[in-house]
Amino acid sequence: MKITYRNQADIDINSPITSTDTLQLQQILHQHHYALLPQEFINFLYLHNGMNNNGNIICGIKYHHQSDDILTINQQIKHPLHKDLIFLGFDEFDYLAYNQKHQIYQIIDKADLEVIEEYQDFASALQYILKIEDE
Amino acid sequence: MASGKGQNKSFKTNPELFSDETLTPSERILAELEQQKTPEIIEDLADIEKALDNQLADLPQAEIATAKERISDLLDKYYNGDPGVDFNQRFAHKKDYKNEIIQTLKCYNITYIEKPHYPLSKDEKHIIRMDFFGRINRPHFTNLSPLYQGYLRFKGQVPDEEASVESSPKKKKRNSKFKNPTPLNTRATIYPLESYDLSISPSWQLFRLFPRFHNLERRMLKTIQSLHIPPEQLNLLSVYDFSDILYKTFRKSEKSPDAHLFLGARHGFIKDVFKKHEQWIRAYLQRQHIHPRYINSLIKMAQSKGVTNDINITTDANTYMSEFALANAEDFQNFIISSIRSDNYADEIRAKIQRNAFVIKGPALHFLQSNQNHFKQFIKKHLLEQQYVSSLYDQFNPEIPGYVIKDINNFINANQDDFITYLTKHNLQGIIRKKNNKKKQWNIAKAFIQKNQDSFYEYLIDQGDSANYANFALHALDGTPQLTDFGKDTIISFILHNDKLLQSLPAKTQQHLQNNELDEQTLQEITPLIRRNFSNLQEFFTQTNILTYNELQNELIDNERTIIFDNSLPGVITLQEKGFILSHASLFKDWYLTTNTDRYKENASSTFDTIVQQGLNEQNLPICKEFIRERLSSFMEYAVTKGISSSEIIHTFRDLKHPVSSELTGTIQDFIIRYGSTFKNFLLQKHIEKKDSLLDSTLKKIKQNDFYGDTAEILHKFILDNQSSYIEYKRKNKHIQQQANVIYEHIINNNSETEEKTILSKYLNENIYNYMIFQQDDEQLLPYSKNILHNIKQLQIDSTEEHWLKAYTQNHAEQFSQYMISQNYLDEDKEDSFISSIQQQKQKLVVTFKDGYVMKIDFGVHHKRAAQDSGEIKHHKNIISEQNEICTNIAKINDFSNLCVFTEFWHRIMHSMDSTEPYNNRERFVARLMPTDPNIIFYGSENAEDQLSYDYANDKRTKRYDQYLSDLAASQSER
Repeated sequence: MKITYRNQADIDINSPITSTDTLQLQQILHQHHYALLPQEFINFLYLHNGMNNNGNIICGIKYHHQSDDILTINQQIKHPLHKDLIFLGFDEFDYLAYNQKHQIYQIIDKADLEVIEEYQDFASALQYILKIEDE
Repeated sequence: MASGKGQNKSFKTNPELFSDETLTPSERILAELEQQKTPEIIEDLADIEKALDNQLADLPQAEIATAKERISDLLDKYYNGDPGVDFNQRFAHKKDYKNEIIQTLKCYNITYIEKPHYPLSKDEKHIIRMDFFGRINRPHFTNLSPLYQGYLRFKGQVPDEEASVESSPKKKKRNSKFKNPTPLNTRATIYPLESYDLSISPSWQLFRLFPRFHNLERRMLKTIQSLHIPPEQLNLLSVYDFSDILYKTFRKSEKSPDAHLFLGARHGFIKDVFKKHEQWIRAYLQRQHIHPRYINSLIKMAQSKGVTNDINITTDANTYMSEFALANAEDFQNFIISSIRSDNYADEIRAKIQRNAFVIKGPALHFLQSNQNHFKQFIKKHLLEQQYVSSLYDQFNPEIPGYVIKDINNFINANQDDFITYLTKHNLQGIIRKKNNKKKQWNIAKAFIQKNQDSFYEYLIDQGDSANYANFALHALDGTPQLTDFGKDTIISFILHNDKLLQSLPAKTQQHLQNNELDEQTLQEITPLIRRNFSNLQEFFTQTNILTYNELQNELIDNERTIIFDNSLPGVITLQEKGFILSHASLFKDWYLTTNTDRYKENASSTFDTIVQQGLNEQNLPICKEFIRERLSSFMEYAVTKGISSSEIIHTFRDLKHPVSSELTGTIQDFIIRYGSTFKNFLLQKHIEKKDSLLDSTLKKIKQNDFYGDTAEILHKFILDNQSSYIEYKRKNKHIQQQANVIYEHIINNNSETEEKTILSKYLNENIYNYMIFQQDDEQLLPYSKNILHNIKQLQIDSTEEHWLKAYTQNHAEQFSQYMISQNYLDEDKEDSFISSIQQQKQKLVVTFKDGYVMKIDFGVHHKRAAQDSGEIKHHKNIISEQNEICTNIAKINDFSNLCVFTEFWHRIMHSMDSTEPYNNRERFVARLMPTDPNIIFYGSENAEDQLSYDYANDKRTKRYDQYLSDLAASQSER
């Protein structure tokens, strides 16, 4: 996966993580009955451990209780269907989640949890949530 | 208060206003319900239960079993829409799915009910929220009423951000009305607390519905008073003004974002449920396969703080080590016993003492207590050592007391001629004239005195001073330390021990010191050196002292005697001397009154002689008049015979200032000469009386530790004249005894200071083997090990317990790691690294959890009446009928019987099914999911065994609450 951005300079990009970190997180998610991270997103984490574009956030593997930590936001949202869903990021109004059952990336309204957009690939979902344009 | 209707016409709550209008459900809802074809709306909770029982009975068992799968599917469709359908059309059937979910949830003991809920006003919501959470956020300045804002401005309590913001012209105009509120006329008027009657405030009436707020009234009044709000203006304050007052009363600091008021309904409810039903909840959580460590933590947090999330699991290794030790209790106890009896235990103790990590408890405490006298003696010796070194310091830093300098000045003034001759002879006039050359002038004065020692001595004796003092004054001028033999040895060995000091001295002096000779010249050379290195001397002496307590005390007395009697008195008389004076008060009085009696006798004789020879003059006339006035009748008889009229005598002696005629003067003189001895005695008595009055003030000064100036002189002279009693007193040294007792108490009670700790470690170091023998005794050892195990069981892990736990796990590293694996705390593949980390541990053992993150077990408190956003109106079947039972008491909404603990999963589902509609320009709830059982207080899952019912209607808390509300209603109706 290769993503290039026109306004790359504005985005806070965190340093990548190792496979041990992702493996450990997957184990924790599995133990606590959350959906697992999709492979595409794991590949993204190897490049950047989360991103922040003016408060539009893609989460990473951070310290617990940090607002952009994957496990923390999933614990906070408490979606009734958390067995099938894993939340990956958010902007002011929406969440970005991966629906494991339907194998699709979803943009979910923060207020009533209604699905408002769906994407087959991660890059498009990421562009939606970070509000960035393709080159 | 069942209804506020008609009770206070000036004020009506929103629910009351609403209930005044006709109650009709919105048309939209009715239409929707019809369209959804939901079963008949069930209004009352009791009816719901009945209806549901019937429905559940009809459901086949298989259907209940598959209901869980169905609900999951339905939720998926509800949130994600129809699969495989175009995105725009996907959510077309959302309402159907919702309806289906509602139907299915019935077999989970949850029902969907439609009820007219009236929207609450902003104020009401605000109060309910505060009551529910027990906290209050800092109200925003703009939310406050303009009147109250004015008072805050007056007090200068406007937040910075608000003060800097430019107001809009309209706002400015509005605020200008309140810019000078009434208090400005009565500027700093403080109204008495009794004058505030909160019942006149409609806003506070609303607060008062809640007993928790009612209880805060008195404390809040003080804040109102401090803002200078006049009592008659209370009725103008808004709900937000009162919240600001509450915030100001209860905030922790000026900048706190919020203030804690009381245990809110939410926390109170959780606390109560977890306390009453702990066993049931524990069993429920175990059924959910939650690890006991989370369960314990959750229950502990809920019971103590009333919260169900943010579980604090101790990651401290002590917990695991304790678990391990308790699992092997007997072995652990034997381990403690065998380690204490092992050979290298003394080294361990020594290391502990060195680290200052030795805690006085258990056997150490018993050891000190059973060796109390020995230990106190040790402390006393330590104190004595300190005193001795400080007396050496005084020797090397002599200060000539002020009264000696005064005597020298007087002597030079009395012998001016001799002094001038002396100066001319030595050509020193120039130095004396220069004002800034004080040091040289002083040296000249000293040299002059030393040349004229005998006449100075005689002068002092003539002045009425004792020989002791005269000797002292002469010695004081000398200034060289008068060391005892032991003092000399100490100083020599100190310098020889310290190479640097020795090298800094001239070779000849070094030779002298090595030959153990300390003559006057050598002493003068080393004096500045000793002064500079005094702290080293102290350390050296306390380390190398070989004298016993009594020997050292003798040395100290000798040394102090040389200071006080021969050399010079320390500038300030110390507390010990105070003790001496006070314990010898009668001796002191006697000495003070009788000393110098001869001199006074001489004075009296000379005054008498002057009268005989020269007659009366202005100086002695007053005292003569006084003498005669005391024996006026005898004088009258005598004077009348001399031909003086009695009226003149009476006239003269009535006022002592009255001039005396020459005739009478002669008569007085004759009378005094005739009664010469009586007159002399009278003069002496007068002197003693004068001194007597000074004595009291001197003693008072001593008691108040004011030892300066004249007092110091008197004290010093007293000590000089009473050497033997002083030394006797020093030998007893009660002061040191008291000090030792205080230090002993500090050490025993573990609140010793650094210096006291060094005494302790020194003592233990010296007596380490005695301590070991004491501790290894069975009588001490068995209770000690038992006690440690007991403390670990009680989770009272102090440094001692931690030490043993660490030692035990280090010694049993493999068994410990096996235990950690067996308990699922540790991954098997990490065993090797874990063992090595245990063996290398120094301070803390870090255990990495197998599950990495600490998982939350989240419960929410669900409102059965949607209380935080809307109020509920209870009614019977015909909602338009006149029999409506209206629940307008918003306080009743936070009652325990309206609350229920829900697992977050179900809580979220219940809220996601809420339906709302706009009403009166606000959004209000019209329908929501509710637990069917009205008494349900804990909803863990869809299984009946995970649901807990409890009837709060019969609970004493509810009864108390109801009683409060009815009392309040009664008191309001009376008014």
